[in-house]
Amino acid sequence: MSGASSENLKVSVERVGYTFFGSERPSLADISFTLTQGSLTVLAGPTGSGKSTLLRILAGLIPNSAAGQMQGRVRLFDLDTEDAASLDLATRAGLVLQSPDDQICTTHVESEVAFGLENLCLPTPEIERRIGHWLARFNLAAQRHQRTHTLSGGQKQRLTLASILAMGPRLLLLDEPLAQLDAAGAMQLLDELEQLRAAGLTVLIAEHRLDDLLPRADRLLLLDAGRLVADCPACGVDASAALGALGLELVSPALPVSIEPQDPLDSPAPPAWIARVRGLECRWPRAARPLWSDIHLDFQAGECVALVGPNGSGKTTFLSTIAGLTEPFAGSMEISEPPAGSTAIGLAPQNPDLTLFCRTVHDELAFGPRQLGVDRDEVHRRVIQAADALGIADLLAQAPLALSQGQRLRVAVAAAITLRPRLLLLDEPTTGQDPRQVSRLLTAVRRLIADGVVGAVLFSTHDARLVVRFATRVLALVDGALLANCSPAAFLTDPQSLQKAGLSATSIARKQGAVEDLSLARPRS
Amino acid sequence: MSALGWIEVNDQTWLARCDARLKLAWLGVLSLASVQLESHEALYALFAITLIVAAGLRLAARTWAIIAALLATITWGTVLSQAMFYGGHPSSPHLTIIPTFRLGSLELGVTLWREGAIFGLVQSLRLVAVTLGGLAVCLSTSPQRLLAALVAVRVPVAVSFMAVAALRFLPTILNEWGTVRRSSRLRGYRPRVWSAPWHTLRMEAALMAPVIAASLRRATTLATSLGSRGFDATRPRTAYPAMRMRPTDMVLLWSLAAFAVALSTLKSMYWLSQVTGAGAESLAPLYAWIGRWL
Repeated sequence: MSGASSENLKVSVERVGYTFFGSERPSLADISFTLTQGSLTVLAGPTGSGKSTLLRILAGLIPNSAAGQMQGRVRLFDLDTEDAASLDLATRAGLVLQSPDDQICTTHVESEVAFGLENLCLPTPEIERRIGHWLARFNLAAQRHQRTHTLSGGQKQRLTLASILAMGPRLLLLDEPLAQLDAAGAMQLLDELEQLRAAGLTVLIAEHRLDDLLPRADRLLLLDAGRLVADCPACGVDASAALGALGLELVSPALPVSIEPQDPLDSPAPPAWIARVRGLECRWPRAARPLWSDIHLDFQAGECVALVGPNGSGKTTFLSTIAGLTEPFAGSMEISEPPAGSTAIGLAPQNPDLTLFCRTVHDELAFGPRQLGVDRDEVHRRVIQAADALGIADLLAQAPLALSQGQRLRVAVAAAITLRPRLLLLDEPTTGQDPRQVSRLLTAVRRLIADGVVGAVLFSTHDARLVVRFATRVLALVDGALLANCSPAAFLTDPQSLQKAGLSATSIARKQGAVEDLSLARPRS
Repeated sequence: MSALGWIEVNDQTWLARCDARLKLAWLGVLSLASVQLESHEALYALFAITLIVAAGLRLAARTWAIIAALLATITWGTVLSQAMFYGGHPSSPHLTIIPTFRLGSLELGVTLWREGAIFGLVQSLRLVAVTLGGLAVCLSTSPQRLLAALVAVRVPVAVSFMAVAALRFLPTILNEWGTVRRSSRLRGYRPRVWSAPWHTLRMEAALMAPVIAASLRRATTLATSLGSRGFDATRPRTAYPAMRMRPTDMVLLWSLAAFAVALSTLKSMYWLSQVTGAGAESLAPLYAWIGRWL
């Protein structure tokens, strides 16, 4: 093979750096690596380390459609990205972003796949052929004429992939494709990617969920603060050491602590129960069967309860119903009377941005208590306490919507905490967060439970690690019913329950020692 | 099938199967007629035709209720404004809200005029006919076909795509707006329109901030997605499926064109005869017919 033709079989990144417009500090600096054709590479790193920016550079969107300053050179097989036309780039590199909802630009499945092909000006018979092929490849042939908004999360993810791959890219770039998928969906996607890789497609995946991904990958690229700190085989001592140095280790130790909640000061001792749910049912208008039904539950003070279930099982709706924001079809819910100046329920939704509407972080945290008529000194005390607990004390003067995604989530949680809720609801607090940040957040929340600031916590997740580390009880919502309401140890050692709930028996659950440690984190009776 | 994605529409109706360019042409002719027609009977006929076309969509009762509420609001606004500000003669007061009084050289007061209300009712037919026609086109056409049709009639791709993308994301934005309001409610906010109107107004404005921020973020994501899929507003695109006019579509298109030309010609002749006083004696019955019926 000649030198020129071997060059055409790889992607090379040479001393690439990038500084955003208006920023003084580079977001990426001195990045160099090559990707060989047919390889599957994982791009890991803490939140804000520059992974998404690097993917955009590889797709040629930077510098062609961005105002910042780029250094270095990226060669996509036979093409230099700096001089390339957008259509040439689109046929070399396909970029799949984290949220399929935001990148689907048409209303029907067929037209979504056709969109890129129309841009390529392909003749209609060829467009027809490719649509048929890729929809069948991703099990979407039956949904060809369906509206995109009626698809499940997993189907939307597959549609986005089909739309990109139909354009025939040689390099596939994926930005956190597993973030919103349950274990079954994630496995299905990873199987697909392996098959595509075997067919010669070069794949680069930026991801936080590494447990299931690394064993299938060839290489690991690790970014930290905009620099490439490791470039090594995906499985091995080097990868483990590099990840561990950044707190991104695959197997996190279980948390050997028990929770001893204290009664809030200046308030009567709360009752042992916080909420009672009896026969709760949710049914959408004109739906043939309920989303879920016959839910009977009690929430006790001091509990940290994990809500698990596959995509589309109704976890978010369940939290919304508990919060009183969605009217149940049947059943009842009783919440213990909160002390004066506090609320029964606090909620941090999956997209925290939709709860942030004040000018500063301080105002955001103070908003709830002020609405409750809490006096000024107490409001200030609560703001400082919540900000300290969640590590945002230095951000109090800043505008919430100008913060990073992780910081915005912590502000949203802190804003719910200042209400002193008896039951705090967290909807998938892992989305878009690296494990270190999630760990920090939930550790802080557990400490607040122990201090009596928050009565109990109910959080939804797809991540078995969080269940192991933080939950005192597990609720599994599967096929419209509560499949499990038990201790994490009992749940995580039952492979069938795990599979039905959309959690994989990851290294955590398989690690017997971790499961045994759960006995130390039992809910208070 | 509908460009208004949150409304379910039967996509097997004859209107849904019509070529999108024909529907745009119909909308154009409808707009032209709504401006040119003046007689009550012609405007009623225009509205009736639009209603018949919309009825062909076989919409659900709930959708009709929404449309009826929209059209009633337009009619009410037009009737009220014309009843209050009618300046024609004769005019007879229907309801005096504030009796006339003098303030210096000004004569002030609020009266609803009967003739103004009737005039407004007729004028509202122009607006509701075009609104209903536009809704019928949007409800019976997918955004992609609408985009292809707009591009085919030489509307710039950048403009067409923006309009279609706005339709695609409108339900998402409405959903987010609902989430923001529910979240604020959970944090203790209650609108106090009467006891604290200024505070409520400020809060309602503040609640828009997360929706706007989310829309801006989504716009950035969408732009990235479009860029990575080779979208370029300055370049030609293939339309999939290819735009094809059926013979019936062609007949309807030519009929619409003939109607538009005939109407414009007749009205131009009539206006010229009215303005200049010129015109053949033999055409006097035609002018009289136009004046009476068009």
